Amino acid sequence: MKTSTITHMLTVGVAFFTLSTLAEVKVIGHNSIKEKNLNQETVTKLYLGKQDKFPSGKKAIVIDQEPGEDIRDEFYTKVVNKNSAQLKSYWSRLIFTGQGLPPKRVLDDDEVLELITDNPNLVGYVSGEADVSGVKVLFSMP
Amino acid sequence: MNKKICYLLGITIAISSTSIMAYSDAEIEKRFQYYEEKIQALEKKIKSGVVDKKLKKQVKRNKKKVSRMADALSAEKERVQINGFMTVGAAKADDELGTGYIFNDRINFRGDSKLGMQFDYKLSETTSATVQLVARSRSEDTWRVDAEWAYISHDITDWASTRVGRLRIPFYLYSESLDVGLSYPWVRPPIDLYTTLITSFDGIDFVFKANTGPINHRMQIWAAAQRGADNGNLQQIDIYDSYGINITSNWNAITARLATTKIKLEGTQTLEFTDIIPFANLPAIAAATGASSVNCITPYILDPTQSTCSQWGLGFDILDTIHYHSAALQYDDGNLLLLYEGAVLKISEDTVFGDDRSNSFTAAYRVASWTPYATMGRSKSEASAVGPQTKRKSRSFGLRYSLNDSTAVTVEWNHFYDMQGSGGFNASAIGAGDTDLDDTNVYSIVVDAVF
Repeated sequence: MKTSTITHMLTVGVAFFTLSTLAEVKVIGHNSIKEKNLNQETVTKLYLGKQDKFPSGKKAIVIDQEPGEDIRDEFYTKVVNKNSAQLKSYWSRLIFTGQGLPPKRVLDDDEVLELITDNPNLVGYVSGEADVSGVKVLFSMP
Repeated sequence: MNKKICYLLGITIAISSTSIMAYSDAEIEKRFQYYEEKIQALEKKIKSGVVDKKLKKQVKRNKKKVSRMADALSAEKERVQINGFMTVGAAKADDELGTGYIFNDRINFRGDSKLGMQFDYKLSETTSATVQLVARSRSEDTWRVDAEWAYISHDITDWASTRVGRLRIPFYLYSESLDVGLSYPWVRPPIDLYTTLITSFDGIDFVFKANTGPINHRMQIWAAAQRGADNGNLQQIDIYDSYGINITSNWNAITARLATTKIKLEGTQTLEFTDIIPFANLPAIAAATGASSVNCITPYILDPTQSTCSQWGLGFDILDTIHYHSAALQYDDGNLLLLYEGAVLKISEDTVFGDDRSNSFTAAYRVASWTPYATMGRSKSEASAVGPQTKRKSRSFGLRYSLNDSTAVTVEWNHFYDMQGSGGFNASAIGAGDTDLDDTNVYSIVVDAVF
């Protein structure tokens, strides 16, 4: 009796989880890196140019996606907590005072995955539906 | 089957016979897209069951070609990065107020309109070169281009870097991005603080970064060599022996900044007056104010004896040292912005202006694409050789609307009141005798963009 209730709950749980991955954001890195996961604050600092290293001390280079990709807006709104206008304003202050340049941009999830499998220093974000079997998921947010 | 092979061969020939070098970046991008689409179509065909070794090989070859093109593009893109900003703005005041923003009682586009382009060139992993050119039409009616920033930057360690060349003087929190409208909430940073004779220096700076727990710190030390600063208002002023230090600390939404700047000025400043004065009196005025030269610019037309002057100038030799000490505290969580900034200026010779004390407080709140804001400020200047003590308070209200993520329109109304002396505005513009201007207004609208 108990087992079947638990199984029932698990099934429902998995169902919800699967549904929620539609709008999920995953931050990924190369399979070989030491880090098991990153917290939201670290991801935010990396993507705002406030940090350029993994917590372990290894160099981290973040990749962004082109504006227009839905996952980009999701990532910045959910994880970094800035909408695209705030992000533009933030970077314009850094760019034009020589304090930093925004991360490189690639076309889409596929390009992010392709680049990450080749370079252990890179960190990128992809949507929940992307095939992350060849990379390590460092952070995710539903 | 035959058809498919012919089709494929055709595409392969087309791709391999294309010479990449002959095309512009935009064209390369277009072709890149085109080939990507073709490859996706081909892959679909393969997946739908046609297992032909030749086909698979050709798809692989094309994929390699596409990724080589992508690499070529991104390598080029990485070398030079180009960013720009632009403001088109109009302002009108109730009175002739002068200042660097040329506030007068006609609608005027000259004070705020500008175009900036910045080129960042990566020389190596640790060294880069940056040039920022800004075009303005402040002086006369022609556009003038200045290099506001032009420097080589080198990372000494991952927490220390240095820059050599032309840099902006980091007087206050937003001084370095003064020209970039989108980097702050207002039409322009509050003029209670942000009006300085000069804005950049030629020299060197060192930037150090450190963390204490969750707080990030950034300390900057800079020193200037000589820099001529002609800001177009009939003055030629050099700065020399100048240096400064500042520290900015940031913890989540809170930013605090302390800065001190020392500038030594040398040069001449000319002030113009429009009182009608007999020629004979001019030397006496010069002697009384300590001016080193006096000249009549325009004789008074209506005087038949031609012995009076309606527009005249006094030239002052300036040899002065100014210390700016400032503190800023800002809270910005993305929706609510609160900012206080204050500065104290100590001037050694008091030739053209005396010691100054200014404060400004701003509150802004973002709701969807709208950000209304209000600013209160006050500034006070001690008497100088040329003018009495001046005081003024300000109350400003503004509203910004974000058209999209890179463009915004902002309207602002500045109300200056409780003014003493000329309120710190261009006394000569208002008229030496007419210092009872008690209050005045400035109305502005700007469109800011970054690209």
